[in-house]
Amino acid sequence: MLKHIRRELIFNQTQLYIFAGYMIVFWIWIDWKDIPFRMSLVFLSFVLPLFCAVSIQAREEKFKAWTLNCSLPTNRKTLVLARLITSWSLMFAAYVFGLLFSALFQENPAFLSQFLEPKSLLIFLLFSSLFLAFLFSFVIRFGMSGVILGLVALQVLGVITLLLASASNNKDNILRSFLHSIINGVKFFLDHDPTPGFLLLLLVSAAAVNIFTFKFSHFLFARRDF
Amino acid sequence: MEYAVEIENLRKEFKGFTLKDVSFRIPKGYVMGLIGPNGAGKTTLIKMIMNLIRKNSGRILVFGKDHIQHEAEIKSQIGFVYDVPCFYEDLKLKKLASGIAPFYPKWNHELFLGLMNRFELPLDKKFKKLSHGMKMKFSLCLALSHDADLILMDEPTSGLDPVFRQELLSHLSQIMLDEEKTVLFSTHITSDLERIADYITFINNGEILFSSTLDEVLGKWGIIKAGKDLLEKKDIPGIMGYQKTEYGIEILTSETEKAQTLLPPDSNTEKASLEDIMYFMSKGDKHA
Repeated sequence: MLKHIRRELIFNQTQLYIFAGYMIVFWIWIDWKDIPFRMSLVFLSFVLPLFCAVSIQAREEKFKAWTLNCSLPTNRKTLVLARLITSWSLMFAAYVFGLLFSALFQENPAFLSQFLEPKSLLIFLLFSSLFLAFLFSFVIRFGMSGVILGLVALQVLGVITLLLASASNNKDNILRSFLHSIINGVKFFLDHDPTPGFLLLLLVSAAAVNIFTFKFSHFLFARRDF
Repeated sequence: MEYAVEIENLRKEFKGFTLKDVSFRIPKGYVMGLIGPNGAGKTTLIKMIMNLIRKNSGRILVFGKDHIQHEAEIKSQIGFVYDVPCFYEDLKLKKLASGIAPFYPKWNHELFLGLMNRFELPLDKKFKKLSHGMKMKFSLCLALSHDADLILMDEPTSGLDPVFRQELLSHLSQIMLDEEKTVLFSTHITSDLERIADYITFINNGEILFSSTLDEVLGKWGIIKAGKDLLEKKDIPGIMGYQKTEYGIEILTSETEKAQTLLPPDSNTEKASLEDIMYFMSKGDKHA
């Protein structure tokens, strides 16, 4: 597995510098706009999977390098697992790098220390896992063009739902209810007391989501022709 | 006889193209040339051996082992040259090699550096800065640097200048002196195969039309040139294809000797080259 992770890092070295750049801009923005801790944590949970997992795969697609990777002496299951492990390694490295960089100019050390609390780390783990589950599987099967099409389709669906809702003068439309339920779900996790049971639940849920992501992504990837 | 590759009833269906129950075997220690026109299925077949394209049915054995069950082990014994090199274009050649080398237990870095030097490839150059020919050379360097027992090459000489093509062929001939190595080589440049191939497999429209030794093909196959009165060609044995010309008819036969006994005295018989065979069997008026 180490040689796979090494390969990923060598082949995506340029991307690592770009991540570092993004992280610097992101933490400067958080400090400059005084973004509260909870919102920063949620942002990080969505930004990091996007940078670390999707951009590496987009790069691979750009150079049609799946053919190269799949012709190496390995199998597709190992390739998917290696990509998932590399994505997580990069996400945690970026998380730590961001905090260290932010420590250079952040005047309130308490703000940063919140990111290192077990509950914050586990919430980051769960939220990132959920977002990664969607992105990783989708990109591995349909590529970046698939993701863009998927996002456009979601936007069109949103617009149609809004139009239908305004035509029916219904304030509690489906889209609003859906968004509220997501916000309430996020609030539930952020507000919950960090009891051992709750922390264990976060950990187990994140592990389960990642196992699902791996199995589903392998199922999809094994059916691709190059 | 021991076989490096055994393919049985291999089938793959795409929209508009089907690889139709292909079967052939490559004996260990020999060079097989895979020829056929564009879109015949050569790349599909090679990619299926590498499990880059999934099969619908059939069986592929490499060194007697199933190519999916023993995928990693088999691929470590294969040197693969792509029809279109697919490396990360923004990386230097040495970076690409350093990412790939650890996967091959028998990687020989000295040999790799020697080949890079011999092929005049600069390690510090980015892949995107290379010409098509140089990209193919780099792909060849990687394929030849880990003491592979089976070398699969999909159009390796396309885009290469004649000097390097000759060099590559003599390098392959050297490799073949070790009788353990096996090569499957697809190409349009059939003259390359006439120099090094032991076996020829012809594929057209997803079907194997013949798979035979080169000596048998070049020794027995011929082109009969005769007047239009030979149009009753049904009597000629081994017809594989024909074309009508302004002056008469040209017939490709796989049984030249037998055919000659039946021909009128004004007819003319020539040995068929692989290019003639490819032309008659894919573009002639009649395919066997």
